[in-house]
Amino acid sequence: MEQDQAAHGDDKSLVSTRAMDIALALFFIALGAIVIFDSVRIGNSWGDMGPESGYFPFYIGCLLIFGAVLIIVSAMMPGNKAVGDSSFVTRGQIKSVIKVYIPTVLYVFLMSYIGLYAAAALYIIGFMMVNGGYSFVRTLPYAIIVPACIFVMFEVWFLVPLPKGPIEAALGL
Amino acid sequence: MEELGLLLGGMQTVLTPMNVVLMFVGIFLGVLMGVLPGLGGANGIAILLPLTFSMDPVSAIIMLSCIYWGSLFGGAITAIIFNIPGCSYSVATTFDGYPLAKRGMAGEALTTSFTASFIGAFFAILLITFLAPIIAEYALRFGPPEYFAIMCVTFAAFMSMGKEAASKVLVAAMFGFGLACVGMDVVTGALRMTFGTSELMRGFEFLIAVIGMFGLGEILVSMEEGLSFKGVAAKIDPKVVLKTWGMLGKHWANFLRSMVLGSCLGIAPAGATPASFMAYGIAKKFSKNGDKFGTGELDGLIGPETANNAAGTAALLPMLTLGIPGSPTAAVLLGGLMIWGLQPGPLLFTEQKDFVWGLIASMYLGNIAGLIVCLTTVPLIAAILRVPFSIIAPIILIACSIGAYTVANAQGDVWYMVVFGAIGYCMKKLKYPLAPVVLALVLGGGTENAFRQAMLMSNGELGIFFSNGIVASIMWLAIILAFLPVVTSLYQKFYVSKKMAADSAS
Repeated sequence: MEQDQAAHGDDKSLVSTRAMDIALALFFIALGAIVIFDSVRIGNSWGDMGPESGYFPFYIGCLLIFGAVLIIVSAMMPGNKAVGDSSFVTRGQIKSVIKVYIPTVLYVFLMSYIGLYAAAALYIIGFMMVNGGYSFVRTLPYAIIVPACIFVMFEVWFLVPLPKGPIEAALGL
Repeated sequence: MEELGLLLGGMQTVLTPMNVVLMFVGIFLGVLMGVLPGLGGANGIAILLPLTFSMDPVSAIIMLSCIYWGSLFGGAITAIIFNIPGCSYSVATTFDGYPLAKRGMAGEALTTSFTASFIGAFFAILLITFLAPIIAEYALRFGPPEYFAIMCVTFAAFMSMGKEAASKVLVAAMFGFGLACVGMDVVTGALRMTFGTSELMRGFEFLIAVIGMFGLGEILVSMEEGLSFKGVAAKIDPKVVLKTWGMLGKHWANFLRSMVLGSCLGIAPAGATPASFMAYGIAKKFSKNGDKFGTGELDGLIGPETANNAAGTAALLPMLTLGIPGSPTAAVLLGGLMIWGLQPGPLLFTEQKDFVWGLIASMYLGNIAGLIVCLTTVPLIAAILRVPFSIIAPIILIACSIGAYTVANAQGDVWYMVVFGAIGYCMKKLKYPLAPVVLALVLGGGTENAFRQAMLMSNGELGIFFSNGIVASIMWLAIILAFLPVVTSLYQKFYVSKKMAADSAS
């Protein structure tokens, strides 16, 4: 299990909970603004056939912004200081998160070019080497067996086609 | 007793060899998903949903609902052996479960909790059997205003019962509703928030949000905690089971209190977590050894486990009778029913009798299967949990990506999953509840339709939501629930400041 221990050397906080709370609330305010803007564009009043398309989303946008403003206000209240000052994520933590997230993004990116099976094999190799510290050779059994199992289960048993790439085409699958 | 006859008919539908096999497979998968991080009941069912498209609906729903029972049972395993609550409603299970396991009584603790889960769920199923047809018949009279009012109660209940800040519940729900609006408006045909792209025309499928937020998001959170399972050894053999069952008889009052409490709270959305904590509190109050709670009391384990399984099962009552799921997992089951062309709601009970009673029958049998599977596979589950996370995690994430892809055979959905993962990670860390997002995304279309039709009926007068006794009382319930957090926080502020003033004066 010791391979799974992330580097805990850096416990310094990267960003406070308050800053992150406000940032996410601002993101929701922006979303709310988009919803309201688009609802007004397509009409948020009463048309010939009753309520127009933007009638309901308009209120959703308003409530979204209302809630997000409340979050910002309460995040800045003095009573919330202890929680607000606490760390949202430390440097060590964000490193562990990025080490999972980036390979996942790469995997999804590769999936549309080389197919799911090849991308999955590369993903398992990369993930185990980066996060588990395994040697390349030790990752191979997993990188071969897992995609093979997925292939049998989905394409053969349940007849669900998954994205394929040039490798599968060359193999005539 | 018309229900009993129908139930027996349901049992006949369910008890084919193939269905029994699916039941055990489902339970085992469910337990496994309940214990692995990133694979809860909701996400697990979402991933496996595409695999069931080729089955007949009864077999499919048996397998999917058994995954649900399995995940409800499984939550206790990590809580007791590893002191890691798999879900928020298993938090109370760790209080006395882990100390028991540390004292070398893991087998007794697990047996107790599985039995408690079984009894809690069984009571809730009895409730569903006899209450569901009555509620469904009553709900047949509901029109759009009543339907909309019930939606309001659903989300207001999250605001007052959840432990999260009410403003965050509101934002989470509105985020879900906003996402549900994207795409083509089915009434007028207008394109909403697509900004000229064809990719957004399909809108957001809620299964993608479930897989992204509960799958990827959860794995990101567990990764940063440097997740490792260091547990105590657990051994269950028939002798331990029988001995424990012998001890449980004298706790009958605790079982009874917890299952009634759990079932009542479980019907309301977001009920399972408060139910488990309240059951713990009540068990502590009534127990002779109340002061020993937290050091490994059986009563402290029976309370929350009975209550949370009763609540988790009772959550299916509003899903079946009203079409309103009480939890994300129930929402995913609802999504499955809709994919098979079954519209959950009062009509289901008159139009799809065989299906409904097959499902209810499978709840009884599934829970018995759950008890058997849990008591026999604990060593296997514990062994799987000791596989390094850097091997398990990529496999879970690949399963997530396949689940996301197969919903609509669209690569774009896999990208949405990645984005939802990041949003889910931030929301989870900032203590936003994720369940309202999913529920709002599922119910968005129906809610909007109900609102529009109600508005059409009244020519835009909001007064229609208070126009008759039923709708007005539902609406007032929603308003009271929504403003309860404000009232309690004001009360606390007033009370605390008064008390502080009194303290400083003396």
